Parts: sequence; structure tokens; C-alpha cells
Amino acid sequence: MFRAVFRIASLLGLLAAVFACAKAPAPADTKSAAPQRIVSLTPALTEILFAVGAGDRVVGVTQYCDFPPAARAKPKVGGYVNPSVESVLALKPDLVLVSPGPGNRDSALAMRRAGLRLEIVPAETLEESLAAIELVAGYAGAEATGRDLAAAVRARLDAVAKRVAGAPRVATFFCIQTDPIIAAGRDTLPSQLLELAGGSNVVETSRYPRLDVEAVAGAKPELILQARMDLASGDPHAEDAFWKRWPSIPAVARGRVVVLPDDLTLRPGPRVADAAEELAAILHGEAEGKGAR
Amino acid sequence: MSATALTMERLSFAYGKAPILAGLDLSIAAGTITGILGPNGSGKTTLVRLASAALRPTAGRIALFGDELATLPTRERARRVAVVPQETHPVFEFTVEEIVRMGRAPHLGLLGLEGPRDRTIARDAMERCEVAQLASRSFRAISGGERQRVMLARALTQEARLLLLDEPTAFLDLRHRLAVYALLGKLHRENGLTVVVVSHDINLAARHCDRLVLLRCGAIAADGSPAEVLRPEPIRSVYEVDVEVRTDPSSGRPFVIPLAPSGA
Amino acid sequence: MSVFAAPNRRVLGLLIIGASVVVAGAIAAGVGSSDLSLHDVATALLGGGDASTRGIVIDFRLARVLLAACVGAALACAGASYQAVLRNPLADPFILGVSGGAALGAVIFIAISPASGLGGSIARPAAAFLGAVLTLVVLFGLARFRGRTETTALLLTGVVLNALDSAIIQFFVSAGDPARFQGTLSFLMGAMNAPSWQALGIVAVLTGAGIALLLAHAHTLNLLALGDEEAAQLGVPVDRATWTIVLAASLVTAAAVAFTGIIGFVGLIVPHAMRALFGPDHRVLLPASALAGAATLMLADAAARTFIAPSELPVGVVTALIGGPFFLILLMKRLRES
Repeated sequence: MFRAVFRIASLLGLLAAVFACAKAPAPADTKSAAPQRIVSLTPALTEILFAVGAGDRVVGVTQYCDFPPAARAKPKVGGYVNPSVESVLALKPDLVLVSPGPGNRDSALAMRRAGLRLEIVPAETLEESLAAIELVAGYAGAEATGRDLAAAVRARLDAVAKRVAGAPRVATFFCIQTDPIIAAGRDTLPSQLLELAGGSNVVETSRYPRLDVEAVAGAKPELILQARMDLASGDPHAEDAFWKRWPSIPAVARGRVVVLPDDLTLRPGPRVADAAEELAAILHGEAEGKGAR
Repeated sequence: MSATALTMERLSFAYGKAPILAGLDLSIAAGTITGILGPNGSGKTTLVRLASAALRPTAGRIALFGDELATLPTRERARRVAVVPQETHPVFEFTVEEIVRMGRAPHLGLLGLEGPRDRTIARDAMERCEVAQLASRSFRAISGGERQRVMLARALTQEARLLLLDEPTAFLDLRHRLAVYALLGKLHRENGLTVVVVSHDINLAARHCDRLVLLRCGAIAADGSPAEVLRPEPIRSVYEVDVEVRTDPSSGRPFVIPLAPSGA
Repeated sequence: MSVFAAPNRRVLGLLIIGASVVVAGAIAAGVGSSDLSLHDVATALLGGGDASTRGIVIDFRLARVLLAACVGAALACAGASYQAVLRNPLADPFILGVSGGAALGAVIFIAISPASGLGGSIARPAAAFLGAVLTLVVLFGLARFRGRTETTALLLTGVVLNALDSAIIQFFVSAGDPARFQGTLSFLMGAMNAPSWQALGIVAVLTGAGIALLLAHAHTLNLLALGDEEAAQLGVPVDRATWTIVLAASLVTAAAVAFTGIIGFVGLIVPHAMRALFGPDHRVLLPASALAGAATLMLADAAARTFIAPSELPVGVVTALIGGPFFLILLMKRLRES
């Protein structure tokens, strides 16, 4: 009996060794020409591709890549959490761009193992967004456009920072959702935009902590920025109604709960300048003579 | 209520397609102690379960002290007939006293709270069955013989006039078997209970019962006093064993000695 | 071991447990993620102090503490009842699939509703409750065998329903917009978000009614614990009683789960602890379990709010971390005894 087991085991071992030695197909030669068939697995990277003029060479995006509108017409390869390896392979791309996120690691590595050229471009924070513009432009063969775009975005961000330099910092609570309350913590993109636009994040924890109302009240924010992750929801007053229950929070008492009209502040990529400008207007719009609410 | 404790008329029962009892007629007078005998599969247990309404007959009728069993409300039935099972395994650690007091269930009010009278009845029953000293012990921790006496005490607290027992000594050793039957006899005499006991112990049944009913394949093969029923002939055709019947000098009752399995 | 089992000690035991509820409530109201002193809390509770402190203490902490009390009492009482009626000391309130149905109801609501559900609104809890009720209907329908209730059939059906609900929930979460289902994960781990007074009132009425119904059947639970046939011999209408108790316990559980998600171990461990103290007589076990469940969940919620303050943990995490080892110890005890 043991003999049989031993034989089967060594046969399996042999087969495994054969597979391991099999060479993966060589990646395409990158130096010769700019990639003509690009797949993007992250909305932020899709935005950058279109912004640097490589949009027509994009052959696949995720179902959440909704900006610019032209991106919506591109073939879909799944979500940004769980892209479909098979769909991507079927498109025969010569470049796949991905930003590391929860859940897409295995799919991305599988694509690389299958011989695709995979470039990883982090794009979560403000600095990463700016760096991503140039990195992606470089991979797409549009270095010059990328450099110009990055410079322009940087210039706009600096302008915002200068504009608000003199105004007092507004203690702000940035709320991602209300049930349960999830806040944007110190090192997140919304928080960085907030700080740039002249606010100060009352939440000192990093990442996206879950808080109870008491903690929010204890932080005494003067302004609450409420993002709506699910823009399709039809009721703009629901979040308002939630915060109105807690008049002990200074921001609520003063009527300074602002439900953000779009998800700019949650989108890393080239539009961070738009987001910073939007926030600056909300935080300091009154200071520029627009009148108290 | 009539003087007939239990009446079964043309009683039939089948498990699915397999018939167990077919058209059985039996009448038990109040105040008697009757033993139901027979080999495995003869329908003894089914008979008792039909009498306690645990099973419903496929045909025929049963009357309990004159009233139709099928139409008796559950609590009223529980006040008239009590059952002592072979074994019981409560899933929690109830004490002996708690188990005995549960016999008062058919008499309790809406919230199931016991009054002083209920507690006294339970105490009396425990004393009568000689388990009063075990009152605060866990039911699961006492011996098999003690457990059966506790079950008897519980049946007593139900204040039922008919007591059904299904092979109550099946898992007991000799000493406890004798004790349980002796107790049964005493309760029957002192309280005037009607007792119907299914037994696999022919001699003990013969010693303590006034009447024996011998079942075979779901029908009555013999019915009468122990002396009438326990003779080699009905025993051979029912149990397929040759026996010798003597008289037990201490009780005057028949005493069966098995010899060998009969060829037929 | 059963310190309070003796009849004359039972009342004393219940009074002690009752006192512990008050103490637990005081502790739970006295701690939180903001820096309020006990003096501030006490003043606020009595109506004094400044409005913002009162807002925190009464509208947030007190409401939450009361919710925890109702839900804890409901889960413990339902757990004890299930353990008796299913004759299984390892049963908990979620074993029959009611929790799966409630979770599925909530998830379907999140998937199809135009607005994401918010704490305070009762639309999502209503959907969750409906899911639980539908599960009960399926359970009643599937687990009836020729008119007699077989507890094994009930248990197995519950397991299958839970698994089915789990799968469907996973389907929605995987296939749907991740943004929408952020809240789902926390719901599944027990989410005691700040309830509105309206929601609290509904929970209190539902759980109160259910617990009262269970208490009225306490003696029947004792008899059912002997076995179906023996209970019937003693005059219990077994089918009707079993279904009434299962229904009451399930509705109480459904009400709890609809508002606070799936909080495990309270319904399993508290009855065991109370049984060790009071013995298995349900006429005292049920009230003791309800009281102890309330105290336990109030304290667990207090821990959830303060352990990693200012962040909060889902309550289910706290109950699992404490209840899990407890449960293992229980299991080992049973194995050693048998």
C-alpha cells in the first residue's frame, strides 16, 4: 500500500517540477513603441490615461470607471475589488495598470503570471496622485503631457493653499458614511485635501476609523463634510436628518453640515485640484464675503 | 366515571403498512392490577402507548373511565392516566423533587406555580415510594432503581387513577426489580389504583398481578388469572418455549421454569 | 454548584441579578468615548448641566444602554427557551435561521432601496424583521412531519436556511456596489448604532411582549425538557406549545437582530451561567437570564465603545471574544463529565 502511495507522490512531484520549470511567455518589448492596448483596473488610473490623451488606446476598464464619460463606453473587465482575469486576458492588452487595493492583488498577480505586462501604480494619497500622473503618462508613452498635467495640478493646489493661508483653520469632521459612522482619518486623501484647503481634521486616528456619535461630539467639529459614497441614492436629505439629531455637535448647532454634491474628494487622480478648490470654497467661502448662512 | 378503567374495542394500529394490532378487545376493571405479557413484537408496548394517547389508533375506540380517549382534553387525560416509562433522560440537571413535582402539571394554574398543597402531595408521594431522602439530589446522578421509584412517585402526584407501566424493570437488577413490583403492589392495595404493567418478567408479573393478558402477534392469546394463563400450552405457542409450571410456595402463584426452545 | 437553586434562595438570587442590571447600566452610562466625568453624567441624567452634555448622555448613551438592555434580555431569554424546546444545551437564538433571514432582509433592502439605510430610520429594520418572519414561515412549513414536530427536522432546516441566507448575502455583496454594502459587514457583526427613541420604543415593545409570553410558558419549558412524549403524558399540548414557544423566541430574536444585527454568544452563554447558579427550573431561569442578558450586553456595549476609543468595535466582536473562550470551557467541562 505504501509503495503505491509513494509512486503516486513522486509522479505528482515530477509533474509539479515540470510545471514550475515551464517558462512564462516573455513580456512584450517595451522600449520600441508606446502600448496600444491598455487595460486599467483602477478608476483613478483610467482618469489619468484619458487626461494625458491616451484614452483612445484604452481597451478595458472596470465597471466603476465612470470619468470621463468616454470611459463608460469602454469594455468592462469587472469591479475594482475583483477584476476578471479572463476578461483582461481576452482583450490581449500590452499594458495593464493597477493601483493596489483590497482584493485585487491575487487577480493582478495572476495576470502577471500569465505573461501580461503589469505595472503597479499606487494612487491613494495626494502625493501618490500627483506621482501617478507622471508614472502613468510614462508607461503610456506620453511623458511630456504627463509632466505638464502634473505641473498644472500642482500649481492649482499651491494656489489654493496660498489663498487660505491667512484664514483660521476650520475644525472639520469628514464623514464617509453615517451607519455606522466612518470617518476619514489623518493620512487619507479626503483628510489631506481638507488640510490643504484650510481645515483641520478633528480625527487623529489614521485610515478610516469607525466612531460613535459621542466621539464625534467630543471632537467638537465646527464643520461636518458628509461624503456620499453611493451617489445613486435619491435622498439628499437623509444624512442631514441624521446629523440634526445631535445638536450638541457645534457644526450641527451652527447649521454647518455640508453634504458634498459629488465624490470628487474621494477620487485620487487628476481632479484632486478640483476637489481642493471645492473644499476651499466650502470652508472659506463665507470669509470671502458670501455672507453667513 | 365508571367502574371500568380502560376499554378497548376493535382496536387496530399499524406503523405505515405494518399492522401491529388488529381488532383487539380488552376491558380492564377499576382497582385491578393487570400484567400484559408477550414476546417482542407482540404489540404490548403499542397497547400501552395507545392507552396513554401517545399513539392514535387506526381503527377502533378506547375509553378511559367511561369517556372517549380521543375526545378527552389533554389535561383531563393527564389527570386520569399516568405513565411510568422504561427510562427517562431529562436534558438538564433537575433534582428529584423537581421531577416529582412536575407530576402536578395537569393540576396547576396558568403560570405553573405550585401551591402548598401541590408541594405536600409531592412530598407524600416521595415518602410512599421511599425516595424522600433523595429529594435534593440530581435525578441524573441516582441509580436506575431509584430513578424508577422517583418516576412512580411522579405518577402518584398526578393523582391519576390509572397507572400504566411499560417494562418498568427492564434495566434493573434483581433486587430493584423485586422492590419496584413490591411497591406497585403496595400502591395498588393502599390507594386502589388501577395498574396495567407491561412485563417481560413472567414470574414477577404472576406474583403481583391479579390478571394476566398474553399477547401474540397483536391479538390476545390468553386472558385470565395467572393460574389460568400460565400453563405450558399457551406459553409454548406464544413464546415457542417448552416450560414446566410449578406453584411458588411463598405466594401460591404459578412459577414458570423454562426448559428448552420448542421445536415447533 | 447551584447556589441559588434552593427555593428560599431564589428570590435573593434574582434580587442580586436585578441589582447587577442597575450597576451595569450605571457603568455603561458612565463611560464613553468623550471625556465626561461621572458628575457630569449624573447631572445630565437628572436634567441639569448644559444642553450638549445632556444630548450626549441622554440621546446617545442612555438610548444605547437601554437598547443594549432590551436586546440582551431578549437574546438570553430566547436562547434559554430554544435550549429547552430543542432539548439541546448548545442551541442559541440564531440556530433556526431567524438571524440569517433578518440579515438577508436587511441586505436586500440595501440593494434595492433608493436611499442607503440610516440609523434612526426604521425602514431597514422593518425589512430585516420581515425577512425573519418569512424565514419562520418557511421553517413552519418545512419542519412539519405528518403534524408532529420533530426537533431534529427543525434544527436541520435552521442550519440549511442559515447557510442559504449566507450564500445569498454573499452574492449581493460580491455582485453589488461595494460602496452600498459597507454597512453590511458591520451589521453582520452586531451594530449598536445610536437608536432613535422611536426605534427604541419599538424594540422595547416587541422584546417585552415576547419575553412576557416566554415567561408565561416557563413551566411548559420544564416539562418539554423531559421529552415530547413525557410532556404529553403530563398534559402538555406538545405541538401547540412547541410552536408557540419557537414563535415567541424567534420574534424576540428577530426584533433584536433587525435593529442591532447579529450579536453572538449572549443567547448561548448567559442561560448556561444562570443555569449553573439557579438550576434548570425555567420559572426562575428565564427571568434570571433576561436580567443577566441585559447586564451583559450593556457592559459589552460599554466595552465596545471604549476599548479602542475614539474608534468603536462592533459589539459582536466583544461578545465573541469573551463568549468564545467561555464556550470552549463549557464544552470541555461537558466532555469531561460524560
